[in-house]
Amino acid sequence: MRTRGWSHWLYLAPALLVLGSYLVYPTLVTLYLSFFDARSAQYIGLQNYARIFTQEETLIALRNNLLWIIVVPALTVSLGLLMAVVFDRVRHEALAKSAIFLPMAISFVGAGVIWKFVYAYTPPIYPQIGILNAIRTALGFDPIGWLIRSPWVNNLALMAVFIWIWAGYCMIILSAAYKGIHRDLLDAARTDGANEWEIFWHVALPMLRPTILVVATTMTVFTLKVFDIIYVLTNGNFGTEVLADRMYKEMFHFHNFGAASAIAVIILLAMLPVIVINVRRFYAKEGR
Amino acid sequence: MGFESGGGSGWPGTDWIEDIMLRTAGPEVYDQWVAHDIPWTDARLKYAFELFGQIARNPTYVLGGPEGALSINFRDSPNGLFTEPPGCLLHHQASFIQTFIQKANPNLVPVVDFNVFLFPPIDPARENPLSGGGSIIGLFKDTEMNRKFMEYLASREGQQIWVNEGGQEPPTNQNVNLSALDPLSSRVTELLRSAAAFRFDASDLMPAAVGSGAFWTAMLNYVGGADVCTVLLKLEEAAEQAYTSGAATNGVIEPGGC
Amino acid sequence: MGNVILIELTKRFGDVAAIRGINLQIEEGELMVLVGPSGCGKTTLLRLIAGLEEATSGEIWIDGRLVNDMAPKDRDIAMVFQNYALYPHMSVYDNIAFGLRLRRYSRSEIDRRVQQAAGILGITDKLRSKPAELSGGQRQRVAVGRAIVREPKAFLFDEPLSNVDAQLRVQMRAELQSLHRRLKRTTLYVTHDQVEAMTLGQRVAVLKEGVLQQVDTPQRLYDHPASVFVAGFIGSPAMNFLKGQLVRQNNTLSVQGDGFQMNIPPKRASLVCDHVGREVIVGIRPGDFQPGEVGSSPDRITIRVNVIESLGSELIVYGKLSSSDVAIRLDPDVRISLDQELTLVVNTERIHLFDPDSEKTLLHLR
Repeated sequence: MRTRGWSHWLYLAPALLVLGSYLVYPTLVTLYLSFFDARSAQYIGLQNYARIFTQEETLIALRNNLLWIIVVPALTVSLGLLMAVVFDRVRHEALAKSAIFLPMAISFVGAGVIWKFVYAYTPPIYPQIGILNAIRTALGFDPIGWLIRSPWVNNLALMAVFIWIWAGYCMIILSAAYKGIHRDLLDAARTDGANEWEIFWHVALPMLRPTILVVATTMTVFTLKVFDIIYVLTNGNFGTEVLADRMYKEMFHFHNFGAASAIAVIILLAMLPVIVINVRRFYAKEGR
Repeated sequence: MGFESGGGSGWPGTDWIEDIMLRTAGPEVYDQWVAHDIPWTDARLKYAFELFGQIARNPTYVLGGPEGALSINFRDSPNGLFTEPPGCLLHHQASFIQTFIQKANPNLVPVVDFNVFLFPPIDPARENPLSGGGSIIGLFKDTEMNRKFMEYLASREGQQIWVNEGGQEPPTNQNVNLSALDPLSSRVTELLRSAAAFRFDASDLMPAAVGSGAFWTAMLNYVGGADVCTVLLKLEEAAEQAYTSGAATNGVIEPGGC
Repeated sequence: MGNVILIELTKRFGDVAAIRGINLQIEEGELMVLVGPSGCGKTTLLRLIAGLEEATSGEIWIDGRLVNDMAPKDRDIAMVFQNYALYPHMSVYDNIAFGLRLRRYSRSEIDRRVQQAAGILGITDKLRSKPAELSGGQRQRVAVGRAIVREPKAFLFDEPLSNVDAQLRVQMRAELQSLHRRLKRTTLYVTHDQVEAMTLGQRVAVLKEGVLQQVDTPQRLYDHPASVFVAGFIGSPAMNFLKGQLVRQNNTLSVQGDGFQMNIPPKRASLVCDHVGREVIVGIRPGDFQPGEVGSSPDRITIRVNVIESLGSELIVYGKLSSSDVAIRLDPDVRISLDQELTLVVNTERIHLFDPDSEKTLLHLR
């Protein structure tokens, strides 16, 4: 139904006002500032962007963001899926799922503090207070600086924290979807001659695909936005910085409005395709 | 050594470079360095880094080696002095660390169980200056009354109240009576009074992008094993971005050491 | 192809026994229907045979092999589920071919068998469709197709017609029957619908509360129910049960109850003569009444008519005999009206007598 006149704008006005002043306006200003120098005084064209793609710090941040996007959503979703399917068959399912879901209740900063202890390093002559190094020394190895060794050990150690927090969330969503698959379908596959792996691969997985896609895109967005874990655990040192942390540093440590804005724009652009996919999927679902 | 300090990781290393620069290049060059009148790639800075590296990058000199130095929080780093067997014999840190030492080891008696001495001279031809930070009092409104108040805060009388009320910061006024200070702080004050020269912490004077950004990162990278010139070139690059003045800012000065 | 033998099969869920000591043999090529009210354990029994549930005790033999410890995929049985359980993401073709692909059949063999099954079931033009695009009856055929392509040792059907409408059900019933005649596969068909059981089964097994009540051909089950339960479950409307006492008068046995007395014909009397003087339950099928004259002869009862259901080919009359409810089937041309007193003659040659304590029949054929 189409209506002439302006009354519908009246209803939309509050939402438009809020969206405009808290979303559209800041985005446009950020874009504008990204073409200016540190003090937003002088127009410098694309220099801030050029810096992002030439300066070592931001190149490392870009590399790390890429690493995160490749590794983290894949691992969180597959671990979540694995647990959803495995816990479906254990006796104390609710208990096991609660335990895995529990980290969701902890803030990223809190999780960072917890994991700082997990990764803690003390010189070999002293007892290790970090669980990982305690295990290592108990097995006769030397303790290692989990957050120091670059680029694999420390970056993976940071990703592990993210996975620890979010795998439970993926598990809960995927578990609900898995339980939504009629039991008879799995039984039908069983009598059709499938082993448990074939049932998972040929029956459960295809039916979970829409849910997996939603969870995976959600995880990708969250991964792109990752900040707190790195801020708390390494502050981006030792080659662990990601764009969001770099942006924070440029803005609040170095007061470089131009550089910070340019990074913000890059993050926004990187996020766009994922958002578009999600919105398209949403419309496809609604339309059906 | 303990360079871990959350968002500020790396700063304890800057104090090392500052102390070495004061002793190997002297206060005047130190000032040029702060003002970016000499580039980071200057031979004297390179020498300071390398001298520092001889200690910090040597696993037999530093508890836990570089990995330990990078992992250990600066608050915990002096605790190695007091373990049995000791994890380390000497510790380089500003006087505030006394608070952390006594919090972690409440049974220790300052001066008796642990004591303080000024970072020793390196170049025998030079004097032994002292570097440090301190409370800075600023003025937003320039009035006669405010000026008088500032003067009062700097006077013997004003600082004496500070000390008597339990402030443990070494007073800058030479005439303050130190009897109310704890013995270690009063020793530090005497070191300050007898120092050949005093320079304010260089990293605290530099633009944030360098002094509390690139410099910190550089210390971590250098302790972690990075090549000295790679580290200094990056610092110089950051400085050229961040400084608006200084002879080295636009590459006027020859690179020097690197 | 082979037979299915169950020996003392028992399944407990926690403290609840769903299946209690069942002994049953389904002959090679036989179509046996397992019938019982919902919750009687018939689906559990099917799942036990399929291997989807683990037996608590007892043995399951399929084609001469003890399969208790075998995974479903190794038992070589096919099951058709109540809700069809078609894989929604696969085409009809892939649904049917799935089991063959898992068994690594060649492409051409798979195609041959799928086409053949589709031809038998009349779904050839639907092979490219997804299950969601099919009608209920078509889905049912796909589910059957999925079972028959594999040519398994036995088919298990779990109420396959309970989700289709009444008209289609009749048609599908006929199709399944002709399909069985054509394939001659050992089949166990589970239903709660006694009409389906009677029309489909070569033999029917009646299950109640996990206990097998009686296994026999539909006609014998109808004519010689072994218990009150079977008698009441098989046949529609259900058999009437009246409480009475067995008495001997002048050398004839008769049963007397509240408002009726009927003589027991000699053939049946000889089976129950031990029970003279005891309470019995008399069972009379609704069709075993004839309208009769008012009179004093035994075998006559008089009811007050409460409800008349005219089905065109017959009348079903519900009425009260003293305090008991009875249902009676009459020819449609009998003229009756509500609240009328109706006198009927019981065909005592066909009455059933049960022990009120054990609820077992007293007419054991010796």
